[in-house]
Amino acid sequence: MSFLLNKHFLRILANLLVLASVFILPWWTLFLLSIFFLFYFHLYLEAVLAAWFFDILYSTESWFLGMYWVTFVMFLIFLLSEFLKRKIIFIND
Amino acid sequence: MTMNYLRPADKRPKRATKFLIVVVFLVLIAFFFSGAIGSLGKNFLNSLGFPVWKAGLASSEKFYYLGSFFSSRIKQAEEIRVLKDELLLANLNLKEFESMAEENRNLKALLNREDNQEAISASVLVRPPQSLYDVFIIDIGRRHGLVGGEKVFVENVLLGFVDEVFNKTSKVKIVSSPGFEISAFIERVNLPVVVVGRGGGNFQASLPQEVEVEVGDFLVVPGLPQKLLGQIEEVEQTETGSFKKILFRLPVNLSEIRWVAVEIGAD
Repeated sequence: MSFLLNKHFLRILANLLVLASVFILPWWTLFLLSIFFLFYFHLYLEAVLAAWFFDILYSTESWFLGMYWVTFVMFLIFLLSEFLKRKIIFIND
Repeated sequence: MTMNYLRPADKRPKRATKFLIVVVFLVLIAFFFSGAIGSLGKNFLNSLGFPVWKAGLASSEKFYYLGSFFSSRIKQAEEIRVLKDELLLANLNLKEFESMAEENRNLKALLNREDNQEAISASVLVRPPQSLYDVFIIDIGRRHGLVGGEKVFVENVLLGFVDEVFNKTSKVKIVSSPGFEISAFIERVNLPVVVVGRGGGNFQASLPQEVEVEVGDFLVVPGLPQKLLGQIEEVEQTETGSFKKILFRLPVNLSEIRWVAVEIGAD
């Protein structure tokens, strides 16, 4: 059962969950899951990729910033999370 | 004699910073070539999504009946009683509607203006709030004869237009999409108005203060008699302003729509 705690296995599971949120779950679950995984995993670029999939599937041209609005916002969140992760120091006693 | 010097600080960018620069560069390229990449990706993702959405639709129906299995008998009996009353009322209204529809058909025949449109029904695979944008994904596409631009109805309500067509699916842009403009008539006062979508089934329009409109007035689509677009929900006006803001709403709940009719063969 130790493979369940393997970080690569967890990352694959997270990717599947994020992908499922693109196809079958409400839009806000994509944001919630992505923000959590952005902080949990190192350089979680899959969140931006999932947002791009979301835009390709559902967006229309009439929206502000064209049809890649969610991708743009997710990319900003990605940059912000990377910046914050470097500023946060965890101390383990 | 040997001398020790302090090593100069490493000014080279760190690995993660380099990686981020590459990512920013790639994203900029992706945005620049978004048209070409997007059209390839759209076809691929839609064909990938089709079986997933179909499976989701089937399972949601199963869970719906599973939920009713656990609700109490008293509650179910109460619901049946309410629904029977509503059905009786609806049947009475239907009789009146049928006679009016017959009269309408006769009048059109007299004026040589018979309907020559056909409609095909489609199952809704994705609806708000699953999609953040005001769109539906339906289970008919190019292979069913759609080309794009077809009107989509639910009962007698104009819901939207087919925006993009794929092999097995189509994307329907809802008329209430933010910024989407459509001409309409306020039925009771017979007033033409341009309504602008606000998202989530809401529209708005500006009208002069002196126009008499009331909450509950219906909005109809010009050229499509008996097809509704919305109903006035709220009228916002100030004493000093020369215009008042009218807020409309689609008379259907977007998250509950399961079937739509797509009009094909329209002129």
